[in-house]
Amino acid sequence: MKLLLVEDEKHLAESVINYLTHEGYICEWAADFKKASEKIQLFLYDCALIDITLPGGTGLNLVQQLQRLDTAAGIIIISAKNSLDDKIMGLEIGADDYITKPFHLSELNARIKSLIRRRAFHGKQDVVFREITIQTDSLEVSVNQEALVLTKKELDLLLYFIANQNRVLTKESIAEHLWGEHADSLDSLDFIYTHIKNLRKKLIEKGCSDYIKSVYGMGYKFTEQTK
Amino acid sequence: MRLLNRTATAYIIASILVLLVSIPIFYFVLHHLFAKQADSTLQSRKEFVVSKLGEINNELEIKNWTRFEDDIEVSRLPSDTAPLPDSIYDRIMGKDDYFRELVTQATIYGNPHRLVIRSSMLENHELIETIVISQALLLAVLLICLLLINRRISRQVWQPFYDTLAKLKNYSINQQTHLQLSHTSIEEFSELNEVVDKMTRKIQADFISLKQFTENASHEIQTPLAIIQSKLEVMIQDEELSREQMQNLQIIYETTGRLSKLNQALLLLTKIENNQFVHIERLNLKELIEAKLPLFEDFITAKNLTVKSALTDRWVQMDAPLARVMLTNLISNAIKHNTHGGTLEIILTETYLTVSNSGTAPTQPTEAFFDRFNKANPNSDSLGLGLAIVKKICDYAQFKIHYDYHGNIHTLRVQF
Repeated sequence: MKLLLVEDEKHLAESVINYLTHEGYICEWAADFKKASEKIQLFLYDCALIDITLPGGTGLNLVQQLQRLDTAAGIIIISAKNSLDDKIMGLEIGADDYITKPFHLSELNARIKSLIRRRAFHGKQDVVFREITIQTDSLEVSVNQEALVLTKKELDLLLYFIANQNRVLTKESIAEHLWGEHADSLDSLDFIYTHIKNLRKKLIEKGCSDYIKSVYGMGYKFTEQTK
Repeated sequence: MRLLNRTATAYIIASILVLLVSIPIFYFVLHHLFAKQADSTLQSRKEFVVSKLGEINNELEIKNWTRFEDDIEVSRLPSDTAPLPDSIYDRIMGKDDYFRELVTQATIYGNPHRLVIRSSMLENHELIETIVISQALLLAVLLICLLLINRRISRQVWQPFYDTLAKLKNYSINQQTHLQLSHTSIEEFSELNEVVDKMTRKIQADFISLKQFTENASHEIQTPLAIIQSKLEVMIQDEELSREQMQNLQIIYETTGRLSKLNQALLLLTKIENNQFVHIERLNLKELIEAKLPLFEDFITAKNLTVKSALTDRWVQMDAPLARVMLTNLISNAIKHNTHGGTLEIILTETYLTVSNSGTAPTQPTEAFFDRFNKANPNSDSLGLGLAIVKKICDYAQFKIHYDYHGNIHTLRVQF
């Protein structure tokens, strides 16, 4: 999978590329409008991550260019502007998703995965992690072909974990993934523990190993490594 | 005390004093003039009487003569009486009978006699009274007229001042327009208006640039924060990190998160202040609340809250994201400060919206609830900006927000 990151902040771009390369993506970087525009014309990408405020132009124009080229690329807009205008505008002209700075890399990763799944496989591709299978169109979960009943939040959590497997997920990023803006206003970090406890219990009951590891109070890691 | 009343009072007090002092003086001056007149009449009368009496030879003749002269009294004095100079004085006989009397001594047929000559002052006295009263009345009328005219003129003269004052009273630094001060021909006031105008423009410009600075600063802080956060996220993936390093990173990560949220909240506040939410739409608050409540389900179940809601359709003209932030903050506030197993009640009517929750009595002054960085619990992770933002949004939408505590129930009421 090939990604294009259009972002003028070098350090932020580095982090994103670092994280996504680990996920097995081939990441290309364009720091300004002109470079991004060239790359769009020359290469094919599966997904483009586009910052709106760029030196030399607005990211919204890049979205339009991609639309005109009619590529298969999914488009995620990244913006520091917490403004609804950009969001509506971006989605109207054909972006698939929108994420505001500052964002969690794990969240961005999950969004990219979900977007590629939707676009490239029309949502038909199942998410599989060893014995766990999630049918993304019907949202049914099975462990060793045996149905597993999860609540909506537990399912969200499991998908988020599998998308970011072998990665340390901070409690903050999990809270924000599950509750969005509402995570800020409530003591949501305590609730994560409950949801994780329940999910872990249900998975173990179905015969899975204990994949969810706690990482020194920082967060959690979903991994098949046993150490 | 108003300026006009102040000057009027000073005028009135001065006029009364002038009247009180001038009328007696006037009276005495007149009286003195009339007395002087009477005195010279008495003197010439005395000369006539004395020359007349010089022709008299005995007591009987005196009696006979004085019988026909009402204004003269002659009485015999003991023969060894020492001569006295003439004296003149006022005398009142009976009721309202004013006289001027001249007393002198005269030697008649070789014997000392006391001679009293009288001149009636009754007519003069009445005349003085009439003059003084009419004069006083005239003065009083004149003063009243002067006062009225003065008051009228002052009011006209001060009108531009009152205009300016009224406009300043209604002036808000937040409004986009400048003060429109009326033109005046009076130099002092036109100077005042000029200064006021210059000053408000300056204040407004400073205020705007300050707001813009705050917004730009908040905005610029976002990017470095995003970099720090992303670097941290990459760092914590390192499996070689020790427990201690991880814990330190955790603290940095948390703090950065707080800083970022704080910054976003401040950015929102300044954006509202800078009137950057202009996409006013017609929204049904009932629908918004109904869409919002399920998102809080986890938190409601965790606290085992009983939710009661009575919602009617209420359409408002508002910016949609702001309306959502307002509802989110109100509801999350009511959940956060709720007791375990408490109630959360939301009522929406045509005129108001109330969000109530169970809880213990407030420990701090309730007026401070809407202040920035005001926290119910100083140790909590909350930013203390939630209700400040709600208040700002209410101000912006021209709603009134009010807090009330009654019978273990905290209520926030938004009056449309």
